[in-house]
Amino acid sequence: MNKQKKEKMRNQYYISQLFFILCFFTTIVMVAETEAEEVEILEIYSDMSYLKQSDGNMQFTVVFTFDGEEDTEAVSNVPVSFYTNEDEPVKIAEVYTDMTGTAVLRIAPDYKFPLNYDGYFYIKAVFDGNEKFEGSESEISYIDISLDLSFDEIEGKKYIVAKAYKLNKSGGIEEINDEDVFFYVPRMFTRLPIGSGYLEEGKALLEFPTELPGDTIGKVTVVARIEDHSVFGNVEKISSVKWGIEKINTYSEDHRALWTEIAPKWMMITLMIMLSGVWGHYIYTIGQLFKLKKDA
Amino acid sequence: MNNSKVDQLLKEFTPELENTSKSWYFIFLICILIFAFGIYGLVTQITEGHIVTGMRDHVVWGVYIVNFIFFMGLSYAGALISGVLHLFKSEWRKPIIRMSELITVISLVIGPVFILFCIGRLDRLHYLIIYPRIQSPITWDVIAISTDIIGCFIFLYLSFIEDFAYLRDYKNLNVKPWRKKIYRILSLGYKGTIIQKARIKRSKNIMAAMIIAIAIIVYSVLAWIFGVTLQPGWHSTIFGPYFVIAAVYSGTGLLIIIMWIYREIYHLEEYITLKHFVNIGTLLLIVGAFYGYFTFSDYLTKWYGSVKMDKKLIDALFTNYYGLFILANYVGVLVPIVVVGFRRFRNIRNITISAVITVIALWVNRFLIVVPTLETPYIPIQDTRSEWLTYSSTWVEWSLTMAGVAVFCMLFMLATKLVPIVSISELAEENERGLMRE
Repeated sequence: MNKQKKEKMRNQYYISQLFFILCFFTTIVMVAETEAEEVEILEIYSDMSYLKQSDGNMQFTVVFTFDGEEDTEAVSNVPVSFYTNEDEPVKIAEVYTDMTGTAVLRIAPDYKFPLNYDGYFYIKAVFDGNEKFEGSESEISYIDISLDLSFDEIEGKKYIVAKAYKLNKSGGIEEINDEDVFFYVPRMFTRLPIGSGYLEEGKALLEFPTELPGDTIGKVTVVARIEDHSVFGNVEKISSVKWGIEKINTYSEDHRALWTEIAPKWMMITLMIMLSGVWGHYIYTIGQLFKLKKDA
Repeated sequence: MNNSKVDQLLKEFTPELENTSKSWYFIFLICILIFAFGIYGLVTQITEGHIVTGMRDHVVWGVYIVNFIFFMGLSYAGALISGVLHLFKSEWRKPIIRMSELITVISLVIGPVFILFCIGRLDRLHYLIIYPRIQSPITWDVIAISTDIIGCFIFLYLSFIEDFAYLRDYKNLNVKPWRKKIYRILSLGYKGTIIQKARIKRSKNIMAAMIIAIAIIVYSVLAWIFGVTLQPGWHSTIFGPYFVIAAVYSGTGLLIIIMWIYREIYHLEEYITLKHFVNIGTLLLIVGAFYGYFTFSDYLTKWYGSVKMDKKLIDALFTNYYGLFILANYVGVLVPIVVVGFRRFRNIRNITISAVITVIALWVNRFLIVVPTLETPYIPIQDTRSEWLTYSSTWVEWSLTMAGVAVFCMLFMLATKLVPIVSISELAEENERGLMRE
């Protein structure tokens, strides 16, 4: 009887263990399947910017990103369609995003955008989505203006002069006023801000800094920009003038070598002492080896 | 000279020079295959360019430089240990000093080769000689390494001369005639006269002192290549001594491993005893403690300073490289200390295992010095692909790494077929003095 009871208990134990294992694996399989089924389509974000470049090209840059596990990641290599005309959209181009999720469209100066009643052009960038990402779109609308950059000397002082204007409906030039224009000089890593001017009578003036280094002939590149404007976007003009301080490159005729005069003397002396100490001992030891052979 | 003792030692050790076992050939063949795979990797790199490696715009130094520092470290440690053991005249050093000397020279031959794998324009390599710039640590390194290589070869050769002479004169030596000719030429006519002995002794003492000094200077110079830059994690005043300590630590670990291997293969239980393992293990413990102290001191000051990029680097070490950091700086320090420090763990097997852990940890340590810093630049390169910001080593780099290890093994195996792994002259001298094996 006792033996049967033990046998029964053992069977119950085995069954309960088997049940537990089955439940465990079933749960794992269910979780795995659920995870496999729930392939989440990721929400993405887009942001478009506009720059009227110095050569008159209109550059539209749209960046698509999504929230990665740790940081924002780029949506790369997806097609982006660009449309114009807000009322009846017309597709004008398709560009693929690069590794940074950026698609860039450049429109030549001679292209005539359809304008609305107030003179605004309209651009929309659309990504339709795919099996991994949701679709997203971004749109902007600005008035197309132009900047001119010139350099004048007024009463012995040197000025940078920026003129801003747009073309009105009849094709005539219409000055832009009461806006800020920012001036920069490109340096090695970034653009150095040198000041700003205020547009009055279509002109913004800035006195040219007197101690600005230029290249070997004193040439300095100046950038004038209207920045992040709600109506005009970003507009820039780049031009050069020989008003900078001439950079004098001094090249030593001696090439850099241990035996030239440009090598620091203290370092040479230290090195010579150390090396002669070591190599002196080497030579002595090698001499001993020769003598060893001679002794034989 | 106690000729009967020398004969007895020659009789004991020359069979390893005369006969080569199948297992020796098998291991050598495996090394050759690994080496051939490395050559394939090198050809791939030469034909397709460095794009086949993990090195990119930000991380321009990878596994190759890690291997360079690692092998150079092993070499300097070998030089320091053999030099110090020689100068201090420790009797117990004699069975192991040759292993230490071989580690020195073989590592020194392999290490600089990894620099060549790393250089993009090998055709401009000779500019280092034609247009050396004394202010550049690279120039210091070229001068120091070439000086070190020559010094270590001279020291190794000095320790070989007497053994070459014994092998030349040993009538029962059953090797090919060309090998006997090599012994005759390389022994320089050494007869063991008092004058010759004095010359050898004096030269060895001088070279032992020289290679100690050179080893310290050369590895400090290597550290300054990193230390004189303003890179986060590298710009440290203690990098010179830190590198020297780390080098001695890894080299001591490798010496223990080689002691164990040759003790097992050549049955050197009578010569390489627990005492040798404990003595070298104690050195491992002391140097390990110093290494831990230097590591802690370096990271503590950087962490406390909270300079933006240093902080970013330390954050990366404790997140992206957490496992490797723990291995290199905790496991690698604590295991040898526990094993050698506590008598109950102190046996040959445990000391060898802790040495293996040390060597691996110190390779990882060099990786953590090189790669995370380059992934944390002060001025990020703009418009770089995101996958180029981080380093991920490729099969090409690993094939050449493994080839380096294989060449080390092959050269060691070949060297121990040319001369006995235990210095006959050192042991004979010991016996002459009546100081029997310990």
